[in-house]
Amino acid sequence: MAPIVEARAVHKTYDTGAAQVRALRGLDLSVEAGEMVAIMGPSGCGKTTLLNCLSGLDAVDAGEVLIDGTELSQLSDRERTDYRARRMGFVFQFYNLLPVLSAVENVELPLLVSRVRGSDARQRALAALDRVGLAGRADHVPDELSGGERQRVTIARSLVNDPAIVWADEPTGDLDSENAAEIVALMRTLNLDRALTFLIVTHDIAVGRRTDRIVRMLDGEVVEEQRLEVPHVLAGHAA
Amino acid sequence: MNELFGIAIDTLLVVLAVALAVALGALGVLALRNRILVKLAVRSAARRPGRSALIVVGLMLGTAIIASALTTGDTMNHTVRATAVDALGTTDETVAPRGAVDDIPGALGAATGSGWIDEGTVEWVESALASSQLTDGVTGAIVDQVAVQAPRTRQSEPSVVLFATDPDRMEGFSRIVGSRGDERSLGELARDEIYLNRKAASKLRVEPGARVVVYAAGVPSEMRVRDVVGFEGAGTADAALLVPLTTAQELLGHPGQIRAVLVSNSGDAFGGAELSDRVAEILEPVAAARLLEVQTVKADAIEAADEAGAAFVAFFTTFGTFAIAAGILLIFLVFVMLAAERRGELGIARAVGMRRGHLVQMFTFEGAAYDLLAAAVGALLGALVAFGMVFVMATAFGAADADEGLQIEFAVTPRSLAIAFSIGLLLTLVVVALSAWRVSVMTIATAIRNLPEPPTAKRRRIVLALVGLVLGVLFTVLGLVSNNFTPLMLGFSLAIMSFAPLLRLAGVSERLAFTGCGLAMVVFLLLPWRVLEGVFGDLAMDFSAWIVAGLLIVVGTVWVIVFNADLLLAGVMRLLGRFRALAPVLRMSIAYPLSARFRTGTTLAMFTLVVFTLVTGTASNGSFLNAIGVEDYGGGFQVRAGTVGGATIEDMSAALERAPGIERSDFPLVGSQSVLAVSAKQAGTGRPSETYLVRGLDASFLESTTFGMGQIAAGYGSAREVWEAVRTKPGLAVVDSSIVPRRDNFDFAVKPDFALTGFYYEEATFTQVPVVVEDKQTGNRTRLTVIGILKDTAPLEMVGISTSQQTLSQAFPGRVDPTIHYFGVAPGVDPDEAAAQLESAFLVNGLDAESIRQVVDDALAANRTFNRLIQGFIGLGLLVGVVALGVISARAVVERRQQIGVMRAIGFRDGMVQLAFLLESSFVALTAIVVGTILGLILAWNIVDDQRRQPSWENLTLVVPWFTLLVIFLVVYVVAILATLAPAVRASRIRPAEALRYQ
Repeated sequence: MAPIVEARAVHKTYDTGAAQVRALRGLDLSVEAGEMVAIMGPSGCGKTTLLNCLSGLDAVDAGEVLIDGTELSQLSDRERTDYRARRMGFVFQFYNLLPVLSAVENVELPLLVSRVRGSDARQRALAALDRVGLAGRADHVPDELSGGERQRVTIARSLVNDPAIVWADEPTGDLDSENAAEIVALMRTLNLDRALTFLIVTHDIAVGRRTDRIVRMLDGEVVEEQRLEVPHVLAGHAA
Repeated sequence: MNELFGIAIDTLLVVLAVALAVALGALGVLALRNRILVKLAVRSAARRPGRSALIVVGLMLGTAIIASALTTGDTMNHTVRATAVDALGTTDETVAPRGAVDDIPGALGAATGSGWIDEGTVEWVESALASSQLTDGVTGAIVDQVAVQAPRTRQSEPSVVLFATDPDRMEGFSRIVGSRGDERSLGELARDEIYLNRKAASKLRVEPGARVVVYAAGVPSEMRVRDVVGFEGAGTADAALLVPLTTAQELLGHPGQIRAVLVSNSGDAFGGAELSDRVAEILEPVAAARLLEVQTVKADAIEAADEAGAAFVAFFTTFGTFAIAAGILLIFLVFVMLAAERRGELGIARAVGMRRGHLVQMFTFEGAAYDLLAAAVGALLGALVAFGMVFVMATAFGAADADEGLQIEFAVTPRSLAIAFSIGLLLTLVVVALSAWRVSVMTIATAIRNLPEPPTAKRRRIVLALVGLVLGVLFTVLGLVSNNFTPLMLGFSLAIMSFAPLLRLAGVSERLAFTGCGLAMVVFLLLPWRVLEGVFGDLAMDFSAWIVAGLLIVVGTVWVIVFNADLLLAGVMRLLGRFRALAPVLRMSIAYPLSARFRTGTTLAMFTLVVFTLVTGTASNGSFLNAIGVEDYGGGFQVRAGTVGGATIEDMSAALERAPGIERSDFPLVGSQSVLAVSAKQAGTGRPSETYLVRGLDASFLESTTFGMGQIAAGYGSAREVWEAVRTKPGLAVVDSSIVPRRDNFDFAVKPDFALTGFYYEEATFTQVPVVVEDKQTGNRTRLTVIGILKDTAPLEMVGISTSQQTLSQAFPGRVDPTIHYFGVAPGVDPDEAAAQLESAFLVNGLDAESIRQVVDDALAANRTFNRLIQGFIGLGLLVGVVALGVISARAVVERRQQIGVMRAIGFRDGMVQLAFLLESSFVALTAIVVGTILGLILAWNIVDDQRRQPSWENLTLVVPWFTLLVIFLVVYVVAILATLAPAVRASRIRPAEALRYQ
């Protein structure tokens, strides 16, 4: 199967003023469409930087990143932004819902950005919320939702525009174990049911174990890759 | 200027100094006891210099507005004083025939037969003062009006003041400075020589050596201009000619006689006036025995200057109140937002042992640091703003008052700056302390986790609401008992406001409670005043009513908007959301203001206040100006003219027949007036006599005039009937409206000392009022009966008690020859040309003519410029709004950093983020424009409707100057957008990866 994400010799260095931090050091990575990959490693190893560079939230200093064959570095900021709106979804550790919008308004926002008609956007947003089991909480603002519910809204937002890939940065980092398990199960279901590609940055091995592949990073480089067996994955799914 | 807000300036300075010392002393003691808090406060201020600068700008606006009002007062005070010094020089007192000095040269018309006194009076005055050591000069003088013609330049000046004195007695008086800077003396002048002052030379376009013709008492004399000189004390700040006393006596036909004895006190031009009371005390008993009177002219002029300055200060502080109120809101908002930004830190500080008092202190220290700087900069900025305003005023009044020699000159006193600094500093400190107290009330656990603050305790809300309710009832009762609109309105509104929290406690929804109470308040305050007066009876009203009503209307409206903004914005979203590119941006720019009610409401209130005031002021003033026309000013005539007292024209109609270059048929209507300064009092009131004017209107004037009546005595049906009665029945009179008491007071003008009592101008009719007037010079007196009050729109030239010429000439023979003439011109005759022809034909009489159209144009032009000045002054409040939007937007960028990251991640382009910020500000600005305009127009309509019911303004209609308003709206909107632009750009440049990195 053709890779949906392909990173070749990616370098990224942060200049903090006092020192230069080499976050990514010639990293190579390939993710196939429909694959669910976990990026793991100790704090500061460059996981989130990698996710940002792959998703186009941040620019690389050297190397190339191709998403679905499109090289992101060749796109202008505007084109990258539009590409994100059409082809990507994001899930963050702290949910990062917009607190001034209700759940359904949060979910429909990417559709409105993509210029989907208001009524269609609302319908699709409600359907996405239904898919994550939150149809009944559509009009609640984030402050009125629990952590697990907020993360479900985030997931609904990430998949509402039928993206090619969903990027998740520590999606269970702020959740208790029960809610964390539910969220991972939800993502796995979406991955299996809709062949949705997930790239998940996580510290949590329980999350990693439920993916197709674990990529381990250390000091800005991929040091190990572990492909997981399907039954193991499904067992995690069942759990 | 001796008073501000009704408090003596010196007392105010002491009070402010003590208050400032106490406040700063207390802060100093606390600072010494808690140095760590000072350190924290200073470091907080220093951490974000840009933000601190913005806060200082916000804090200084109130001080700047107060300083600019005070400095404008200083300027007017200085201007009137300078004009007085120009006219009086070092003359502090005059001894002259009674009432003679009241005939002010330069004004339209003059009394005739003003007394002359023997030149020997000078020695008598000198000897009376010899041992007092209070004076340094006594001289006899003649001050009269003459006409001067310069044949070579073909220029004529019908009204030039002739000043003559004894050259040997100029010691102690002002120096005469020649064109080369050398000192000149009247003694140098030959019999046919004169000095011209610079203004006279400029008007006549002559230089030293030129020949001119002087028309004194109607007799022409050819004279040579020896020099063009500078001289203070010629009796005018305008055109003057100087001759030795003997020459003037000869020219005017009064050898050995003078008009007055001038006395110069020891000290300079102003310092000498302080001795006036003592000098007058010495002179008065003996002067009275000789039927003379002592006038403390310099002290009176200084008093008038103080009154003029105080009037301007009152005017500008009144119109600046809204901007100051907006400034106070801004200070509050700034500190509440500062606290919100540091809520987490403050929660931790409390958790580790800081008491609430410490937080209050910390914030107050920080506020005081900003405040000290802001008050100092604000005071100086205010002076700068005033300088700009003075420039505009000089343009506005330049044309209108140049003839009076009024030249506006900028002036600022350290005293005013000190007062503005102190008031600004204290006001800000109080608001800062209150804000600090508000933010110190926090739940530590929620503050640390940055969670929303739980609602205020029920009991506290009940207590606050009940206190408000009780105060409201008390004010309402006070208003009803005193028949005063302001406390009634304040009380009623306060009571309604207090109901909102009570309704909430009773379970009514927030939207319903606040919308209901807000609407009730707005509707009550915007009800036509006749409806309120129908319910509550006649109510007295002044500018405080406008200020209080304005503030409360805005509070009520903001409540309604803020608690219903979701509906409003849903409508906007439905309307504009069709444009798909706009939909996500609109969604965000609507959601944020809705979620921060306090901020949105406060900013909206600031902007709405300013727009509301501008619209009310612009629309109502525009309506008043529009209502004044040539007819009101001219009373049916098209040209008016005045002659000098020494060369009167007894029968103008006959004079026109034989006047050179005049076509008699061009002037089908001629009316004449005499004018005399008298001592007047209302009979039967026991009040003292005061100086005022009487006018004698001839039969032709009375038959033709169309000057309208604002109020007519019982028994008369119309203005015409009143004028006919004055013409046919001796002893009847009409007066101008400035001396009639009123319930409503919307006037800053200095009122005359003479006033009628026993009725109000607003009443439909009044009972005839008897007044007794006395010619101070001759002691003759007569009783007049007032049967009509002129409209407010009557010109200044009709000020006084106007009766028939027949009545006056019988009462004061020889004193009231006509010196003012009104002309109606034939169709097709240009009034301006007609005025020029008249001046030329009657130059020998010093006839000064002007078309009424020109007079109205000058007056309206000056008023319009002044109105624009006021609009600009109110518009200073816009700066407050701009700073508020700047602060809020800057804060929003920090607060929403992560959310902006999310927006960028899910597809918002940088331009969309910018647009969202700009639309947020647009929401505030456009809502303020629409709401402020609607409210302002309703109030302006109320003002017009109320005035229409008052005498004088029956034909007043609301004229909305849409173009001016459009310009105002555009300015408001542009500044709002500009204020948000920088933060919006900053927000759009946030890199999503960085923004999303941290919680």
